Amino acid sequence: MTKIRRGIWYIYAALFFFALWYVLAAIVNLPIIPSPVKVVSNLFTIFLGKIAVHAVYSLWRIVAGVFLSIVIGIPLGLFMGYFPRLDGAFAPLVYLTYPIPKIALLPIIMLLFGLGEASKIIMIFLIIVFQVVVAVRDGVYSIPKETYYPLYSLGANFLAIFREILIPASLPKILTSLRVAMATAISVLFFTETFGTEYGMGYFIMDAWMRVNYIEMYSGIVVLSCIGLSLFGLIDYLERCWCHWQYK
Amino acid sequence: MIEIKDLSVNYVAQGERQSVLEEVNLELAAGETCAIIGPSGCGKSTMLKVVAGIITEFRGEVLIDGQPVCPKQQKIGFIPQNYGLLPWKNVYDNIQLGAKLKNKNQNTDKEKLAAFLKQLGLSGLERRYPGELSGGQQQRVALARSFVLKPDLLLMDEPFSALDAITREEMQQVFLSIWRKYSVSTILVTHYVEEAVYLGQKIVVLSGTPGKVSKVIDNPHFGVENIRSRPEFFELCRELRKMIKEDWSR
Ligand SMILES: Nc1ncnc2c1ncn2[C@@H]1O[C@H](COP(=O)(O)OP(=O)(O)O)[C@@H](O)[C@H]1O
Ligand SMILES: [Mg+2]
Repeated sequence: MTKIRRGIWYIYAALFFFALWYVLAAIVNLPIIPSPVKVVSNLFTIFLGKIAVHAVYSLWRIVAGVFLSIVIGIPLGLFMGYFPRLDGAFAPLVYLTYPIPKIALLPIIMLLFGLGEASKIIMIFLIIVFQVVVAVRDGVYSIPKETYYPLYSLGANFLAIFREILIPASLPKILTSLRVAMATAISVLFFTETFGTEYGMGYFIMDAWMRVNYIEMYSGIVVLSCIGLSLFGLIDYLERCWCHWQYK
Repeated sequence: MIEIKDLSVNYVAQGERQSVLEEVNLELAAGETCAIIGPSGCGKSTMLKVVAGIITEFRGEVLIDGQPVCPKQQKIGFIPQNYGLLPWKNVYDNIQLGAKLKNKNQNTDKEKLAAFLKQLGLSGLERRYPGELSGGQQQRVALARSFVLKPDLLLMDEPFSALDAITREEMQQVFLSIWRKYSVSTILVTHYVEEAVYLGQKIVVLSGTPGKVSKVIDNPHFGVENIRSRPEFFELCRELRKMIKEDWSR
């Protein structure tokens, strides 16, 4: 029931957006704002041949960056939340580096890791991992002491506490932090893809812009937006699967 | 058999050491129930946490069947004041938690579990989350979780005090009926005189700060049919109340 309603809601939003775009294009009537009809039909003809490979590259970089952030960020956050002493050691470091705009580190990262894949993935990792660490740590902090008692009195080892309490209790916060970080990560990905690569949505869009091919440029923007939207949708979906106990 | 010998517990709060329990001695035969009654703040919860193996810094000795408390080796069912259900697990998984951690590879008997859920009035609620249950139902789930484990020792911290009067009496009865079947050694904390007299074979009165055992009463009326409507029951409640009043006002 709610699933269907949600689907309809997405369709409404998309229709509304395209209608707005259509009207704007008709009013302005300039090549810099092409009609969505042209863009979408162009998208269908060039997607497989021209755009797909760029989309796959961008998607791979995001997925790799997110994966790294999760693999490193979740254990670190859990340990910091669960062992106050570890938090005392790491918290100053995290707090000091958290507010630094990571994009400003791009030149350094590129000097260290080259212009290739590594520096793009590391950029995404740097942006997301802090959010994940802080979210997980706060998630663990906010678990009431009493929650652990039944497990302690059952002689649970750390692994069991990890699996039965720490992970499920902090999962909602992990997903929220990923959702927030994702938008930034995609913007930064776009930026990094304009350097040192010939693949990726960032490259494709900027390339089309230089060639003054606005229809292709818009097609690229639509695809990149769809990538972002699908990732958002995926996180939403996972949250509804894993964290539905929250809404009871 | 549970033995508590010269148990003393201190808390350190804001740099100050505060004695919460002092020289508590208590013995409980296997398969017996013991109700601990005492004013708020006298260290009842603290004592249960020590016996449950949650608090490990104390002086004195706590032995379960001659062995020092060790949750890894003994089966201890602990029901905290808020029932201690995990909000992200449904009723079924919450109940299985103890068995999952304790009898790792053993499969629990499905039919037995179903019969047990029925006795507790939980059939049909297996897929619900704790947030979708009433207080009484949550209490039943917590009881089910502990009894499924067939514990060596059951500890309950003010188990029925958050329930309304009618549900409370019902749950006390439910508890007694399961307890009869499994006869698990049980320590329960309460601040209701009636509850202590109804559920405790042994009634322990704690008092003062730091808490000390001031009286141990062997309850002659425990388990008598329809005891709650008999005059002996009211008589013992009245005596106990008087005793407690004198004791706590000292
Ligand atoms: N974690 C703690 N740190 C410091 N003091 C505590 C802690 N837990 C309880 N206390 C203190 O110990 C005393 C006994 O608490 P508690 O055992 O919860 O009493 P009861 O359950 O009998 O009401 C109280 O004065 C309380 O303030
Ligand atoms: Mg208490």
